[in-house]
Amino acid sequence: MTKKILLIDDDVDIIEMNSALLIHAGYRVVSAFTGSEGLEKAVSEKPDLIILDVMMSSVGEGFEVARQIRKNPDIAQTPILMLTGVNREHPFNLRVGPDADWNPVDCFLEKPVQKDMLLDKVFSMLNDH
Amino acid sequence: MKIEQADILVVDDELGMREGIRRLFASQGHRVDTAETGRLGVEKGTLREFDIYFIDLKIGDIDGVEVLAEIRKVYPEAICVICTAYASIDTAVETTRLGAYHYVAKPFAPEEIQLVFDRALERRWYILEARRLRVEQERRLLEVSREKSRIRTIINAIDDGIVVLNQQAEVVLFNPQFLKLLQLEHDLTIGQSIFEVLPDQFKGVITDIFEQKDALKAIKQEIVIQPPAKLVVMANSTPILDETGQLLGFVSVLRDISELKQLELLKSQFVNMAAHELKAPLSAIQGYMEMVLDKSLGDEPDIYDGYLRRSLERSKTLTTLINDLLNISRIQAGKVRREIERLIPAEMAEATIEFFKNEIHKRGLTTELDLDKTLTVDADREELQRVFTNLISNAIKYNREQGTIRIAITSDGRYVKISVADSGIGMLAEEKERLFEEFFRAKNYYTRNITGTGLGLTLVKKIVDGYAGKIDVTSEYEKGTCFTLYLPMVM
Repeated sequence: MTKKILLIDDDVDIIEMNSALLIHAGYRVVSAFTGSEGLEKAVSEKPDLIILDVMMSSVGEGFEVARQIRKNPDIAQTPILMLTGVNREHPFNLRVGPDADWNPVDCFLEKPVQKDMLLDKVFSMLNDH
Repeated sequence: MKIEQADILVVDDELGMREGIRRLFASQGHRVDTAETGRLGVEKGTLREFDIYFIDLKIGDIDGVEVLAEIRKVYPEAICVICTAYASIDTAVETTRLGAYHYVAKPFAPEEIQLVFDRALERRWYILEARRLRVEQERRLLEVSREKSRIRTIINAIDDGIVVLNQQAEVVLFNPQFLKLLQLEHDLTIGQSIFEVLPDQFKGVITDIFEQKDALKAIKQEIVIQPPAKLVVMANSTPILDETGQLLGFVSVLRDISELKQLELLKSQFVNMAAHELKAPLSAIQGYMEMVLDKSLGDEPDIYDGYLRRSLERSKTLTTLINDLLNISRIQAGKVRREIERLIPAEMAEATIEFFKNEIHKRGLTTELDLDKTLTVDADREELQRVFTNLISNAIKYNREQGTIRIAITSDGRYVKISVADSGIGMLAEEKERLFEEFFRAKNYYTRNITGTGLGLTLVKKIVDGYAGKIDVTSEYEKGTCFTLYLPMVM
């Protein structure tokens, strides 16, 4: 069965290019433009993977979305790949792993993400789970 | 150590005695006054203070003991020599009890009384000298206390916190500002160890100072009392050395640098936001370019046209963003050179509508104008133009297809009122609140395809503020938004 990926990003072009790449690679893609829309779709669409932008309308909104996902038992196990443009500039102490309760994402990739890197990561995360 | 010219009073009813003593001492250069009765003796002797009194014990009218007592009452340190022919132990005891200096039995030889006189005069000298020293000491004490209070007043008036410590780190001196800056609730006691009261962050500084005894130097350190930047002090601690270089203690001067720290924090937040906003379009452009070059979606060339158009669009936004950033930084640095001229806002509004006519046409928008062309304002043309451009371009971007743009320029007598209203997507209350924040952009279903820098309205507000004007916003989600500007009217 085709795996479903949820893209949450406030940049319409990032959503556009990533969904084009993922669809081209054979995935199904749903997208959300805001954190709250993303949470709704995570529940309603039950994606196999979530690709989440770290900073949306406010600093760290992506982290908050990730926390909310982890709190909901229905979707808590969904792997999260976080895209960040701020890894270097921001003092976020980026820790990886579902056990890190304040920042429960599985993987980080820095924007702009190389196409192959993104596809490799998505492939390996989907097959680890 | 000598009184060259002593004032002497002789109280005796015997003329021979009076004259004898007078002559003896006057010849030595002293001034001698006499009184032949006890009453006159008391009168003269209490009117001013003589150096030496010679008092006869048996005078006609009142007793010499009484004269002695009266004089000593007024001048407790008066040197009185009692002279009498009726020498007895009792009177000697009595007069000594009353403070007589010495006792001479009549008749006496001149050498005898001279000896008593010399010793009495020496005694008098000591008394006067002691009195002088006492006065001088009092004056000095007063001076010292005045000096101390002057220093205290100065130290208390200083806006920086000051504490002086001795070698044992005990408080020697401090001012109220010191307590305030370290948020110490209780007063300090002089002599109290500073470690008992200091916040932990500051203890390290003091310990460092005391431990670096070989290489004594001033230490400057920032101490965060209330994080992140609510209360930050800069502690400048300097050793106090004596003339041989021995450590006596330390003086620490604490300066409140919270405001500076807050500005730094704001600045770094702004830089972070700006970096993020600059990076976002670049990420999009890079991603698209890579897809186009790699032909990531296949060989069909047309499928990439949209990506190229979006890349161009995003690179234009980037240029606008950089221009906006430069403009904001110029306004903030106060480097804007305004060329103030009389402008007719109605004409500028019309010109701006004309400028955007293609975009307006493309979206099928209708414009409704109510422009009073008699109204003028004094402003810089470029700045007012930017205000119109930003507001009207927003009214186009955030409108719905086939919507309307209403522009009215009216006056309330004091202000020129410029309102730009659209029938577009409107804003939520929380979005409206953050509207003028740098980089803020409403993000919802409707705005996803609209590009912008998040600085346009920030700029409009800064410009309007620069003319002592104001800007009001009313908005209803999914219905539309209206911006109203008030600029001082030229009468």
